[in-house]
Amino acid sequence: MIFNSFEFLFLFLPSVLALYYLTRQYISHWTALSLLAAASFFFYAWWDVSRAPWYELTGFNLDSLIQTLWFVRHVLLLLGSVIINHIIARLMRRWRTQPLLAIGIIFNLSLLGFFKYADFFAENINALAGLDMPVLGLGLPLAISFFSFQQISYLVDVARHKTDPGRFFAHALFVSFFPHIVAGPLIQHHQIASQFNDTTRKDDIWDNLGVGLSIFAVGLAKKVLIAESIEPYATSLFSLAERGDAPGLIAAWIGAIAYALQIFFDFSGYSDMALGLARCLGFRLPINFNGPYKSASIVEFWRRWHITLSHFLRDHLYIPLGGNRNGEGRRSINLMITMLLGGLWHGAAWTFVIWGGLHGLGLTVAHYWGKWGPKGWFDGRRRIFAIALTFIFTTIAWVFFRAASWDSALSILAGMFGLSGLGLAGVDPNAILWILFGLWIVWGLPDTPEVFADQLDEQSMKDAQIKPRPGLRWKFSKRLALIAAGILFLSILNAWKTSEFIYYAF
Amino acid sequence: MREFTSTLLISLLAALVGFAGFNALVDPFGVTGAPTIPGLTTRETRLLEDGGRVNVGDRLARGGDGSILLGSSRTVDGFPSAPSGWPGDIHNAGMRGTNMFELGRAMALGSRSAELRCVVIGLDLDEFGTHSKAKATYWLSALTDGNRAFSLARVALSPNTFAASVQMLADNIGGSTPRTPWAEVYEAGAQLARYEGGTRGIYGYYLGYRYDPDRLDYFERTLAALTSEGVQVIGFIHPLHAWREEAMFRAGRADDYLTLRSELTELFAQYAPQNPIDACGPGGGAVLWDFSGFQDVATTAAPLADQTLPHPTFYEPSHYLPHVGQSMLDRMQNSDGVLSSDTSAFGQRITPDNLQTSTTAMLARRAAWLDTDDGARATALLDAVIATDPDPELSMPHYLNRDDWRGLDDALGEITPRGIRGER
Repeated sequence: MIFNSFEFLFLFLPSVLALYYLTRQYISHWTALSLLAAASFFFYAWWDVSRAPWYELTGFNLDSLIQTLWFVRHVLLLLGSVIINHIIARLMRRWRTQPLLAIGIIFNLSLLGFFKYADFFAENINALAGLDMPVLGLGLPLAISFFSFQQISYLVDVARHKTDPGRFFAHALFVSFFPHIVAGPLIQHHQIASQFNDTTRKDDIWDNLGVGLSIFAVGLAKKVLIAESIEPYATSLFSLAERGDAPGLIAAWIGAIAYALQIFFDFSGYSDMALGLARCLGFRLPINFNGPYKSASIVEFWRRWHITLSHFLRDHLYIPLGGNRNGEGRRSINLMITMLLGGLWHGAAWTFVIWGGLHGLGLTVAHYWGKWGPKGWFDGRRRIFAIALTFIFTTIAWVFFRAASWDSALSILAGMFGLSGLGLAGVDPNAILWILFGLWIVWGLPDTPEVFADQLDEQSMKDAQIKPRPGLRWKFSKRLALIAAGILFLSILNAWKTSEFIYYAF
Repeated sequence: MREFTSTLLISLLAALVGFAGFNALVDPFGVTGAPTIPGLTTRETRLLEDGGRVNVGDRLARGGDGSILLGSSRTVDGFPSAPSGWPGDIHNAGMRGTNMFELGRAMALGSRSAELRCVVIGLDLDEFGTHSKAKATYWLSALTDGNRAFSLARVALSPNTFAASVQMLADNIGGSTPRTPWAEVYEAGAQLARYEGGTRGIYGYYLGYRYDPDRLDYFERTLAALTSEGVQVIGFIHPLHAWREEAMFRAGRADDYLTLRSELTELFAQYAPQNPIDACGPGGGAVLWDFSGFQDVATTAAPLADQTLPHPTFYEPSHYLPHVGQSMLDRMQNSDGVLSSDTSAFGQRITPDNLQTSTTAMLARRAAWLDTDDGARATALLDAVIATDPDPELSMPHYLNRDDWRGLDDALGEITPRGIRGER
């Protein structure tokens, strides 16, 4: 189920909201949470359930039972992961922490590695060593990259005594909570455990729905009205390159910038929707985006782009590796390792590793520049050049992220560096208009957290290191209620022709 | 905050209900079952336009047809709406401006019905080009997910439906119709102008044409699934008027055409051994007919400057008349064309064994036609066009993405299995 589908907007969401609030009001907080966990598992299972060939079942017998379990194997995998991690967390509380934590982390990484990377490594070893290791072709369980990291975060928080293991279904809800399970934001357990445990919280339904639906409307519009409109221009370039065409300078830059904008509006739109949906239920999720293309350096970019992944990698990889504690050289190595693995986390392909490596290189150069480079070069009005350079760098890096192969990435880069001619033929003027419109939004308007700065809680803003500047703010006036309704109305009318969110593939 | 939220929810709900209610009531695509409003919705003028795929999707999702006839506007206009003589009847499910992406999904959706015996599908280069994958109304239709209820909701909540609703109301009030495919009588010169204009336009189109091999793979995946579950797939290559075919040759697309023809032949031959549950015509699980290539129907001379009576076989170079389509259906149903050594008969079943012979015969027919007065007129027209060095008609290429392939796999996974189909 995707957020902009009919079944989600008109069936699942209203039912869950109604059931949750009624249960919390008339039965109990914990019953409401367990119901929310069940709904989240249903949301996750929908991918399998809606596509399974149920007609193959032959009645109530053992074969049918086995087949049914196979049809819902991914949700069973998720459930199994929750059960095992919960047992480990409970054991950690009773006995020594470190060995159990190591076992838990190895378990989660093994699960991720088996489903996501087994074939990748087998293919590479076969190619390098001339072996014939079997390629399993298991298929990637939806969101395994995200829920594996959620589980690690849970175990680390329990091991560091930041939180208790909590009740089983609260843990299940932490991992499976439908607004964020598929594509984040990545939550650290302590960020949400206190909200789950707050049994005395009074629900202000009007406030929750007003704020939540407003943020959701912005996210839905980003996805449906903008990302989906820009997507064909990016897809066209990358598909042409995959077929061996050599795009020229203009065509290559238009396609690459189109992808840079598509992925921003797609992913930040999803994150906004996740924030909004959680808020509709009275929960606060961490902020994931804050105008990343306004960054004046790669360091700043990673403070604004996929903020929760940056924090996860910083807390669970970069700092344990030593961070910046052992000199500049070691910091550079740690940064590179972190970004290479961060790239690989996105997908089992060398193009993702190269994308991560480029960002590792960018971060290292930015640190050296900050320490030994000339001071004040990009201050004041000249900051605009730093922003442009950062955008150009990230756009070039996106080519590796999006390209299906090394060859097609190089073909596009050759075009972007002018090695394949001017490339004006077949350039769609609409693409240029959409790009200009997209750039105006990312550079000319504040991003969602700044617009909703007055409604988002201080801790979330602090965690994301956002200090909102004066500017456009969401006010809860009648006029803005009509505007929000108008945005939702337009987005819903245009929601039918949409592809899945880019990050659903990870 | 209460005022803000209630204003938001009430205005959103009111807008959605009002919008959906209007669209459902006017029902320009004929899917909601709303009663006719005299003078306003009596004439369903938008049923055969782009939005017709909504109606097609709805019909296929309901199932019950023994055979379906798929294809582009050539199928919509080139066959009777209810063709006769086909075993168990056949439903004309043509969709204007369609291509292999939509057609593959239509084949899969139709095959969900256990009653379906045969799919007859019209093909040519257009279906395999890189132009837009789908018309906007495709995304509303049940072709996308096979779910009628969701499709009805999407249709009701769509700006495309709204636009069609307004057009339909205007048509009914003003008495206009969207488009007349052909007339009984034309003004002198009007038909020739149509032929000449069409040929000029199609030359530019072919200059910019790009073949997309992915769309052939898409078709193959569909063909494999349908034939393995006992559905007979009868493909046919559309006849095009010789003026259009010559424009294709002169624009340098003959190689694409011959390659596609050859690849389709291989593909159909590969799945021919699959046994259909209940065949509609001879030839096995997958049968390919070729009605293209300067055959007699297509080389009937283009209208003269003073001609007022309609052309007997084509109303313009890209679209043939329904009696031609009916004769094609008759031929596909009754003849084992592959055994015929008479390559001058209209339509031939092509297989890897006779492909070369039929190609040679086709090239000979082209050479003979070029020597006629009609061939000379077309040559003069195209010479004049080429002398102006026209720009190719370029549009941004559209390629199938991950969602498109996954959507197809999901749809193919829902095809009724051979065992169940055989029980019906």
